[in-house]
Amino acid sequence: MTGFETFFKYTPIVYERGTLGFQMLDNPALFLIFVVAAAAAAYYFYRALAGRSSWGMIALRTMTFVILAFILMRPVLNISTVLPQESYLAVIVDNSQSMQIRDEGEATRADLLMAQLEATDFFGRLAEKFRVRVYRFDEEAERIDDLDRMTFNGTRTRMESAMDLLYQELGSVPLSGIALMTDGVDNSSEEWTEAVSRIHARGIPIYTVGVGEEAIARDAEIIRVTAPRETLNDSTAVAEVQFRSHGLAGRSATLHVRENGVMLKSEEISLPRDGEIGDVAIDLPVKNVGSRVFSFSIEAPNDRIPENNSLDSLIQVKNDHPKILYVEGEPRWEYRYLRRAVEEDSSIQLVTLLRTSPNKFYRQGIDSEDVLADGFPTTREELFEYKGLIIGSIESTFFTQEQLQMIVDFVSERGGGFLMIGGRNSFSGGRYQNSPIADILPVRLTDEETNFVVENLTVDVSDYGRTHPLMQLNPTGNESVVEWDELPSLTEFNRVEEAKVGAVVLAHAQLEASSRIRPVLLAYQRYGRGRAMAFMTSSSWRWQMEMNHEDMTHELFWRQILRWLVSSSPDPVMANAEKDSYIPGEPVRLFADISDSSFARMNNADVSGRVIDPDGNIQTIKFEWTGLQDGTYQAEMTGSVPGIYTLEVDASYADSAIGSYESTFQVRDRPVEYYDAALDTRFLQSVADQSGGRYYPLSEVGSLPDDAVYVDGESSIIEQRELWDVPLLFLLLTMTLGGEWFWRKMRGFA
Amino acid sequence: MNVIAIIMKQLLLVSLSALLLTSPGTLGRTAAQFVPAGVDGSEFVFARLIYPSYYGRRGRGSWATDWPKADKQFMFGIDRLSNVRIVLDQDVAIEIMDDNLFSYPFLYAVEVGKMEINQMQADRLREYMLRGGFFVVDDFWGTYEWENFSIQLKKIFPEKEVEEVPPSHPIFHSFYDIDQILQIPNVNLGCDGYRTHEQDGYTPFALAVYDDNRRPMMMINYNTDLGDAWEWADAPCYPHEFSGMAYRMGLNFIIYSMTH
Repeated sequence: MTGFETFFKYTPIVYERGTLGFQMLDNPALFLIFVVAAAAAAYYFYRALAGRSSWGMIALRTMTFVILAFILMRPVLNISTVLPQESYLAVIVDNSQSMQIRDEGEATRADLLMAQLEATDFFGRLAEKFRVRVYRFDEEAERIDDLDRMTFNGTRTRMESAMDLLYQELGSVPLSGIALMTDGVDNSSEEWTEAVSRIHARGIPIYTVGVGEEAIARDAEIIRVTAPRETLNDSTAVAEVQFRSHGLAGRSATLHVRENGVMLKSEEISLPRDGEIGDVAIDLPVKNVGSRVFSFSIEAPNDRIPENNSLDSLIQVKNDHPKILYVEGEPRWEYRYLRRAVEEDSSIQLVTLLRTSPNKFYRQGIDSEDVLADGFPTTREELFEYKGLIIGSIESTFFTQEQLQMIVDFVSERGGGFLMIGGRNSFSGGRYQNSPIADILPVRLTDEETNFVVENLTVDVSDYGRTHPLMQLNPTGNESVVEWDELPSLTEFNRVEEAKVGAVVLAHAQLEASSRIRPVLLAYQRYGRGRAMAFMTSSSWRWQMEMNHEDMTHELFWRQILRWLVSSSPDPVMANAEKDSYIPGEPVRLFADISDSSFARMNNADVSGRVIDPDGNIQTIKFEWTGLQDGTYQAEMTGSVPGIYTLEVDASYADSAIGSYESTFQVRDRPVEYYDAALDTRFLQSVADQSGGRYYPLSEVGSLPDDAVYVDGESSIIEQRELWDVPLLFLLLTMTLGGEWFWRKMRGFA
Repeated sequence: MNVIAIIMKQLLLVSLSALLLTSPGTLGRTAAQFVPAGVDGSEFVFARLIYPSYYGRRGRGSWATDWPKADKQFMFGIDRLSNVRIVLDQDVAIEIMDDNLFSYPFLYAVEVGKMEINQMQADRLREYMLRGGFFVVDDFWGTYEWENFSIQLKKIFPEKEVEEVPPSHPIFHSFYDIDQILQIPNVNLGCDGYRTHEQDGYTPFALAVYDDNRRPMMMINYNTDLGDAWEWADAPCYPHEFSGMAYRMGLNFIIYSMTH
């Protein structure tokens, strides 16, 4: 008997589920008459006494009368109770590996569960009232005769499998409840909501039993790695690693990075407080074309669950030489040194159009004499061949209105990268504030044409910029570079003091003449499918000329900028798996985005793919338009062989090829059961509440057999539980009478 | 010229050079001043190199030959013919060891056959070009001046060789198409019309020292005199084919230096 039952006679669930009634009254509301009468009688007895104390005695006397009236009216709780052995109760037990976790370092979750079930004679008591069916589940569910068949070695947990099986097996029998015993770790359900809704529709309560601890003692875990799916060769990819820990707050840990199994680097990290997520950006130098698997693992002292310490990221390193068009209005040193900085970068093709005299252009980096022969592109097809566009010091009136709009479309629709470099005819100096280009730019242009300022300034990297990959001057640790504050001064800039809302300012200009004003120096923003950047100066060439010739800062800066500019610019045909890594047998969703050469989305293309598994077997798949988004096609397959899969997609329309694309994904078995494996109380509570059931910590599982009988179902009857002899009522009666007597005694009325 | 005579002359030159270097003011820093590129929004500064030499004009050293009129007049032409934003009305001459040397990515020197630099100066010029500076030398003639220039050049780039620049090279097509190297005479010879060469420099050469990426970083106008042609382009007697060619070559050098 619990403390609650000592005072209230019954368990809490009886009060939760039952409704109050009186055997002497047809309607419980009539009891209010007794309350009013009790108050009136009490007032009548004490009406002769004046003063504040009379009201206290009146209240105590009223309570005494009310309690007596309550007892005399024979109160009862009406509650639905199942008839013994008339209905079923399903017990489903988590059979996955996560049940082997030792939260406190001693017994496993499975051991604790089994011990508690035995100690409370759970199944014995349950069998007195129900026909009990026992199931186990991990990725699949099955009925078992007894708990000896529990293995706790399932590699994935899919709770919906248990719900589906119950619905099939017990769909036509009186099912009074489901006892779900798990740690709440579900890593594979895809249609859980639908599965549990079918149970809810039958009004069947789910009693959830939480096994494990919400905070595992001493565990560090990598929870997510975010990295680009593909990148250019000989560049630096940045992976963001998120991690958390329990019981190790403030302790140091080591993050190891391996590339295809070979140790790349190690970094010391500080573990966050319990419940918080830490993150760190890791620069990954990519120097080999092909599929590169980067593995991130965390090494923490006395870690209880080493199985959740590593995650992979698959990066496809490409050599596709994206083209960038740079239009410059006058010969400038910035143009010259920018070209030199990226000249040796074989991953980028910089095509330049330089106006050397009012009617004369000098072209560099062109593939043939036809390219840009008539100046700046006049068709979308011609312009959209490029993945990046740079505009230097050239007035906006150089372009026609159609070309200006085409540039906007280049960014918003084609998804290209746009950069404007400072100069006398850039930004407001080129009257771009009155052109459509103003919309693209991440800075707010003013109407001042004379915003080109000759004044010494240095680079003041913003807080955000400090961690941005573009501003990392020495990501590989191998280059000869200097720090930002060691760079020679810049000598001029286009003055803009405000970036647009949503723009990211990577650096401000620190003026030598004034520390109060900090104009924008380098900023970018997303615009439609693409992104646009503003670099407000044209004197970065001084970083090259005023530092030792072996210093690579200038080269590195521009290579990073230009690579970033085109890193997310799509091709007409793009295809990728939804994720970069799958577990064997997990469905793989493949998506393809198809556009024509002017990057208009196509919904009627013929899209076919080939998936080559690690053994070289080829599976042909057909993509279908999703119908949800223009130009997006979908296919699905399953990969069972661990390793790297290659996806090749070809798109055509009316027998003419649109393009092709190649990407990769990985199938790899990993102990998913140990990731995010803490007891998910909130989830289990929610499942119980939504079904009308109840959540039980493992220590209280012994209450479940008694509580489960109070359910309103096909095999239930209404029982009346008498309340007149509830001990609490007599305790209250004693207290009110005793209190009144004591009060009267103190006032000299007794 | 026999070997002993050459050695004697070299000794004499070294002595004179040492004397010049140890005498403040003898380099003729009469009008040298720092004019930063970009002043008033301008981009290009035509900077003339002040270097020590064993012989000079009007007491200022050979670096000052044709200066400042040639430079100024040339810049007016460049301003008129191209989009290059020129710093006009400024006579910029800069010494090798000047802190601001690296602010001028384009450098011009004349009569380099008389140049006498020490190793520190040579190292600085080497660093200048390796960083990306473009150096044009002009107006030196014949075997003797070539030999002296070669000695200076070896101080700068001991590992590099001078190579002839073919007419097909982009530097001759960056603005104008120049298909042959014309010998451009000084004003006296040009106006006389009798001959174009000086000393034994009968054949003009466009030579270069290339960087590791096969870009000329030092352009060498040997047996020709662009500077005089710029300076005397307004002289009625000076043949326009010479002044025209000098402007064309000069502009091509500038455009090339600003694009490669």
